[in-house]
Amino acid sequence: MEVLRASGLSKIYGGKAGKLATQALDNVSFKIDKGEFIGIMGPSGSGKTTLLNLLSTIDKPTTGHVLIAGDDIAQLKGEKLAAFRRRELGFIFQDFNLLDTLTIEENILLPLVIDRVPLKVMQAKLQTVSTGLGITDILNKYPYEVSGGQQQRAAAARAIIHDPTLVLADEPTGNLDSKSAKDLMESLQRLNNNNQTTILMVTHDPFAASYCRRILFIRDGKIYTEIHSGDNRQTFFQQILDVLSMLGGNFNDLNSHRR
Amino acid sequence: MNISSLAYKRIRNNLNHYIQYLGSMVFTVMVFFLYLTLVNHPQLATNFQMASKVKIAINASAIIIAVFTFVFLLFASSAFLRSRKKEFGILSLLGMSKGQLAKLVVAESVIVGILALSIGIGLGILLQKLFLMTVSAILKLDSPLGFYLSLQTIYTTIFIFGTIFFVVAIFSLREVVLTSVVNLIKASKKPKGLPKYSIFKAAFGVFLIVSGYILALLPFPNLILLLVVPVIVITCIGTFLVMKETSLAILTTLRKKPFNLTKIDRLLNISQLSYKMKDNYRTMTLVAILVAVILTALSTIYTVYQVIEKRILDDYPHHYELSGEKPYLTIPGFWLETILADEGIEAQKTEVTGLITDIDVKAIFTSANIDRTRVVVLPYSCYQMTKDRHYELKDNEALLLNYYYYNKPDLKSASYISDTIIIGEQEFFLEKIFKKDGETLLNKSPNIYPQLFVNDKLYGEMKTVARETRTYVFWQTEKWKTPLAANAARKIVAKLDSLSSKCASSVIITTSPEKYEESRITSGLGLFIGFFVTLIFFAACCSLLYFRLFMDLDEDRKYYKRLIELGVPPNQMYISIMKQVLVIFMIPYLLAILHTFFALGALSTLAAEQALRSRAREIVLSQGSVIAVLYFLLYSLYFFGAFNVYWRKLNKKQTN
Repeated sequence: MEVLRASGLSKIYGGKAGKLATQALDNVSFKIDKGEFIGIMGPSGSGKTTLLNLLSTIDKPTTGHVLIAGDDIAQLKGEKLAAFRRRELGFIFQDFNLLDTLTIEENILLPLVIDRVPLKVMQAKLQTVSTGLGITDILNKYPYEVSGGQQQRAAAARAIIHDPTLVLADEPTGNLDSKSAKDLMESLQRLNNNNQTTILMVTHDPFAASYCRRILFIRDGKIYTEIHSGDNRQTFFQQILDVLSMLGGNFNDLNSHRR
Repeated sequence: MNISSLAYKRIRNNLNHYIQYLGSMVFTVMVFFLYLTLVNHPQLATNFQMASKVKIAINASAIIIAVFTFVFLLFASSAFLRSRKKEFGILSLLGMSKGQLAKLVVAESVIVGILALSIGIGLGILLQKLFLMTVSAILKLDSPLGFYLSLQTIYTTIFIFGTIFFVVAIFSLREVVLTSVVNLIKASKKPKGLPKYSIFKAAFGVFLIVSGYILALLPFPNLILLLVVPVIVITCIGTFLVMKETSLAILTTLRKKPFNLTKIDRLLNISQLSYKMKDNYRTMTLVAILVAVILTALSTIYTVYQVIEKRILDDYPHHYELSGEKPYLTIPGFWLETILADEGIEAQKTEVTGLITDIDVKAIFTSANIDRTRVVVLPYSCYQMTKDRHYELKDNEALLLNYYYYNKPDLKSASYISDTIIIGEQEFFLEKIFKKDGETLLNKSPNIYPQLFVNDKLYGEMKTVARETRTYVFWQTEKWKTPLAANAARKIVAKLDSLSSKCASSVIITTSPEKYEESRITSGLGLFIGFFVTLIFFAACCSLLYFRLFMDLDEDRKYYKRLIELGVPPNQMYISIMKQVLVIFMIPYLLAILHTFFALGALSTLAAEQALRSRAREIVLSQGSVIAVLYFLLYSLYFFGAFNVYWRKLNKKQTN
């Protein structure tokens, strides 16, 4: 089943009032099926962030369309857009984006509270999600009281608690140490395998990317190539490194300032 | 590019950051300048010999304004600097030395200071005429105050505010230079601790405020006077604890599951407010106390101003009154009429003979060492004429106005008594003597007697047998509030003083117009000064909250953006944030209104005892409500203005 279809996406920044126009995306088309775990990689300035912003309804394409669950998201405005974001999408950010003033539990429940889901349903879902991600012990703590890895898993829990059509992850391992990054990726993989959660992840990190089933590489705003994972993650990891070296560009700026 | 031109460019390019800070400085400079102009105005100084008390009050207010401005600017500047710490951090990271940083801060202060002084004084000069016209209208002056500009006023303003700006700059310098680079950069990123409170302190705060209120409402004037300071201290401490502890206790209770999970804005507001209260409780306490002081002070002054006429008429019902033995009154009466005619005042003359007799002392005091005390008998028609009453006295009834010059009658005596009075050699039995305490028909003077009114028929009978009498002549005029009437009053008093001592000692003249004029100008000035001082305080309160609001702007923006990304509808976000800001703004004000209400309650107890007598409570409280509502409107207006600016800034970076 098709979850997302992007057709002919282009994005041009500037170009008005004599400013220099920049083409960030150039006629990008692809589709995602239900239950996929897809990665998007590319050097700095390749258009990854722009693509993610278009998919997550934060920005609008200059030309082209994004259909998620059959809706053209460019047509959504105001309350409908907000409702779409909170029902169909789940976000995981590089800097976790948990609210400091809420406990981990309240943070995770946030999408359900916004949608006024009955309390019993909330508790049941919280139970499932937090057990799956191994964060039941820290539910009553505040974000600043737990580690980065735990915060990111809490963010993941928040992203999936309302069963979104698509989870968008933006450099989820960018602020994590290697152990926490591994834990997080394994959790995401489990979610993908067990619950058929559709995940789209933008990343710089070849290790994190090796957990995906399919990876799109983009360069200069265009899709460069696409690879699929086999049975062995090690082999896939090596494959990714090969493509990256072919692709060129600078991959050392893991923590580059992007947002 | 050197340091001072960098400072200049930063101000020019970030004018919108500076505008509120600059605005509050300009405002205080302007108000202070206008204040000085008013109090130094030559027409005010010469036309009316200002009472020394008023002058003291004026100087004291100037000092209060200056000190308060200093504290306020200190706060404002430190808030302003704190919001820019990161900027300073980056500058020092780029290799700017402490000395250069200091130079930058000083250069900025100098530019902003000069701007504030010149704009403030400029605006002051522009608005001066309008301001003086308003003052003239309120004081009902004959000749409006003219345009008046003295270099002295400008110098004083520049000197005082220059000093204040300078000291404030030194303080802010300390803050920037003494903080390490790391702290400057991390200033906005410090993790927030979980707000904690103590149940005991929370309850104690409420207890303190409630006990303060109870003490304020005690009906014993003398006790209230003794308790003023302790009650104020108690209430201030209580306010502080309520803002710091009780608020958190309430919020934490509200935060209990599952109540907080039922609505998104409840979840967000309660948790967010717990933190905001923790950041803001000091400011909120300060604002609550300041607003309470402002409202109470202004209500008091306004009440005094409003009741001048009533107070004068209570003590001096007759505009011009001569009293004494009849033969001595002819000449002064003639003089008075001549003077009145000269000033063009038409007055209606009434003459009445008072019959002196004794009455049972119990009619006046509940306990006394003597049996009988002197009263003067007057016809009831005379009372009806002045006081505009329609009740008819029966033959055996009388009305006693219980009024003394020195002692206050014991107000708890019986409402009416029976007595037999002797006039000449004849006895008259009065079955019902009604009493009115603290009221008088005759003008207040050292020779005043309590007055006993009987109906005109009985009075006629009494008069024929009376031996000892005292004649009262009075003139009533419509124009008694005019300066002409006051002039006439002053002239006749002066003329009588020049009479031979024998005659002067037996004739008493009392007049109300000049007393009215003096009171009106004194309390009118008081009202104006009070209004001014409180206006500055009020503006400062508003600005304090404004700065607090914007101090957390960056964090709030992040918070807001995250929630929008999570799918909270923008209009719901608007309502939610508005509610939070509303709580921060309105809680202090509402508490202040409550404080004011009880403070006025205490004041009205005192007033009832002193000058205002009847209806004191209603008068004080109604004037208080008028002031509170007016300021509330002003405050709400400010709130909406501030909130809209805040909301726009919150959204601005969002779209980038």
